Amino acid sequence: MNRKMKYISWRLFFCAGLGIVLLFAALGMLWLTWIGSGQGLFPITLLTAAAAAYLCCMYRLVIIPYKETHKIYEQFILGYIHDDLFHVRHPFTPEGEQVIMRLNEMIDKNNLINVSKKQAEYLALQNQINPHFLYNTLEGIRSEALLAGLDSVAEMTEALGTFFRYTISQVEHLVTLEDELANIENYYYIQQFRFGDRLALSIEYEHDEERNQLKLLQYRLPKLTLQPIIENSIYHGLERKIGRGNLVIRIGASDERLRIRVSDDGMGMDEETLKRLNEKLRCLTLDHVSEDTGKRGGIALVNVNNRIKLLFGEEFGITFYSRKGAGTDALLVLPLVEKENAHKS
Amino acid sequence: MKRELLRMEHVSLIRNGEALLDNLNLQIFAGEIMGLLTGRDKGHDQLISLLCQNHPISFGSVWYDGKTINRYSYSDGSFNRVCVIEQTSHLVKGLTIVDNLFVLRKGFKKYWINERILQNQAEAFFQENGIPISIRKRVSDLTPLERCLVELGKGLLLGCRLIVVDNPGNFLSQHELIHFQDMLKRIQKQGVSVLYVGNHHQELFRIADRTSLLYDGQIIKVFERDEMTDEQMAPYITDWFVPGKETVWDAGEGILHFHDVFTKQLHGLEFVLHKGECLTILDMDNQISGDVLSLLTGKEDCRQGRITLEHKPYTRAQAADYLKAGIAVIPKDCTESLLFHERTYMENLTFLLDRKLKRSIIPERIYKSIRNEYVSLVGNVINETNIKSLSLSQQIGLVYHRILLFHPRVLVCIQPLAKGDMFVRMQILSLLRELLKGGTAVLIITANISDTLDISDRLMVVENGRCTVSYEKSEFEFEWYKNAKYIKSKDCLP
Repeated sequence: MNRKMKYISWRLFFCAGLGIVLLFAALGMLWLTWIGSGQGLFPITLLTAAAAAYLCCMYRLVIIPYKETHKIYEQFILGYIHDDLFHVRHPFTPEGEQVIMRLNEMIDKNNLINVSKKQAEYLALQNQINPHFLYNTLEGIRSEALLAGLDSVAEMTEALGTFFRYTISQVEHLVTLEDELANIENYYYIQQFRFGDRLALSIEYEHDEERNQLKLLQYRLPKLTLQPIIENSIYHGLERKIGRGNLVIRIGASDERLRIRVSDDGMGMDEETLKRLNEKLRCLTLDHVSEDTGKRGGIALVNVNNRIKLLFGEEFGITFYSRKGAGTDALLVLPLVEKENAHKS
Repeated sequence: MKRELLRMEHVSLIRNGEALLDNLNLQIFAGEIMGLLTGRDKGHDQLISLLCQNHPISFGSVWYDGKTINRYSYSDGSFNRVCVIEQTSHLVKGLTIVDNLFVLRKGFKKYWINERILQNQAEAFFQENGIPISIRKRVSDLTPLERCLVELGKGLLLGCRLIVVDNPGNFLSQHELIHFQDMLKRIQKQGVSVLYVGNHHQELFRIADRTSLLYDGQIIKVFERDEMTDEQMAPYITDWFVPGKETVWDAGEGILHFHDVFTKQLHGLEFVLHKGECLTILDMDNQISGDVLSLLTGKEDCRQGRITLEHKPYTRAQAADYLKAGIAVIPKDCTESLLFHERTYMENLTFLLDRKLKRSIIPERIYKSIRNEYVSLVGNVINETNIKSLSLSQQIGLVYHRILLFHPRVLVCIQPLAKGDMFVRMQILSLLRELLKGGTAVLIITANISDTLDISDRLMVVENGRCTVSYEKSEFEFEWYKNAKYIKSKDCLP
């Protein structure tokens, strides 16, 4: 038997195709007989019209819905969608629908979210350092530095301690934008020790009458969403740039969405790299969990994007805009969340 | 509070294996003018078509005015309340404005039409929206600006919340464009959004609240209000910019003189064009190009004044054989009027060769030599037998290469950059530079100067058929923008 014919859908197609051929053949025969007999053509015309109407109905009721479901399956296989599979409008059979719903329960999205969170924690705790040991050590260095009159070392150590405290603790929480930006400013402070005046950060707010800066800052987002994007901009965009590099975080909101754009005026990326990256961010896959840890920046971005998609839905996430030599914009789109547990169940 | 009107998310449109739209994201807020700068023509038509009608898409979703209207999984083919204003009119010419507004509307089911009531309704509606149109006119009598305003009014009447304006700079004069842009700003205040499509970034930056750059079917950058500057734009057009050597023109007595010329549309036009110089005439009313062409090609004579070529009178008899006099003309629709679609590329390229060599039989070795020379410039396309299959860029290239080969003394171009995307425009500018380097004097008559300034040595602003102001290269960039503001404030709608 042909390999394709092992699938029931192919057998159905074959049968339907055969049925249509037989229908046309029968109609053809009837026409010939009718014309030969010299009788009126009204009955046979009516029969042909009925056959055409039947085919039209079949196209609208079967073929179009079949194509829709087929497309959703195809996109799921390619990894572009996740949730849509469980909300198919025209399932093939009731049992098939129940099987998919059962599978959905078995997969348990929370597990995916946890895997994603674990990945974030793993990135922060690559060296498996006990957080308390780390904080205490940093506090010790800070004290020693203050005693020796090395204020800058003390400040840097304090900033590093604050950064780790924020990074390592409670990754699962949704935090306010204010907290997230405070962490970014702290991260920028640490980076300044390395880059000095070569790196400048500014935060801009697009506020209107109904939504002021204070209101914008109270919206919530997954913890450690912005830091990997900023890190990515610094390492891939600005590190190799000659001269001063500017990082701009622009925050705005519409009636339904929070938009955060992180722009750098660094190296930018070529069309192929940009296309690959956006393609990766469009899909929801967990392939990155098993990827080489050497590609840390990329993994962190994909991870952040997946976490957003899993928590809030596939219409949210990160998109990159870039061109070689023109800098890069990372646009982060999130829902307007005001309470910590208000995300998609 | 900002309200999203349109959102296109990860939209891909693949046809015959080619991604015409590729992971495209576009967002337009209510009451916003969003500029859409098209870097290449690819995706331009498909995007506008997708905004108007929910065609099947390969991936992504489209969200408009509060609901999802199109998804990769299901497209119902329905039409959206989106109005498109473009070069081609969407009005029926033989009918009145009122008929176009009401009678041709979907769902208009009246059998007895009281024209007076409809006229009153239309008048009230146009007045309410501040659209200055005489409602009693027939569509065939409308000027391009009036036609656009009627289409705009019709869109508003049909409840369209998004107006797509496609390259208005190509069919409206500078005056009309300013009026039209003012009108768009007025309807913007009523919460209507505008997608202003264009391929001149300066034109878009002047009117848009934000501008998206569409390149190869993708949005590669969204410029916010404060980012819409030439400096921010520069990295995105460096690839397309083909620098040419600065041309040195002969500042002597000049080749072509218009001495106080009067015709139907010209009222004392006076200018001189020098060898190797590029003079741009900005025709504020978009009216003089026809008369200038008629004068130079012998279809018309001056009512008053005179034209001299190389200091000798350029008579109507001489003008009748203008190619012989060394004048070449590239009209606005050059690919339709100058190419012979049934001839091969080589035949089209060498069409004026007999005039140049002044012999009717041309030896094969000359053709061979031309083929060898041009194959390095245009590639294998030189062997093309069916020029209909060439892209727009290649067809325009063919027209300009033919002129390069002919090497005229004076070349007159009518709105050379009106057609095509950024690539085509840069190609045209680069070919014009080649001509200037060869000593040809180039006269550009245009209603939109944005990119022609790059190659122009002088700019003349013509209003009501006569020159109102003239700028040298060193001053016109700054002065023009200052003056544009002046014109705008002077002519803005009541």
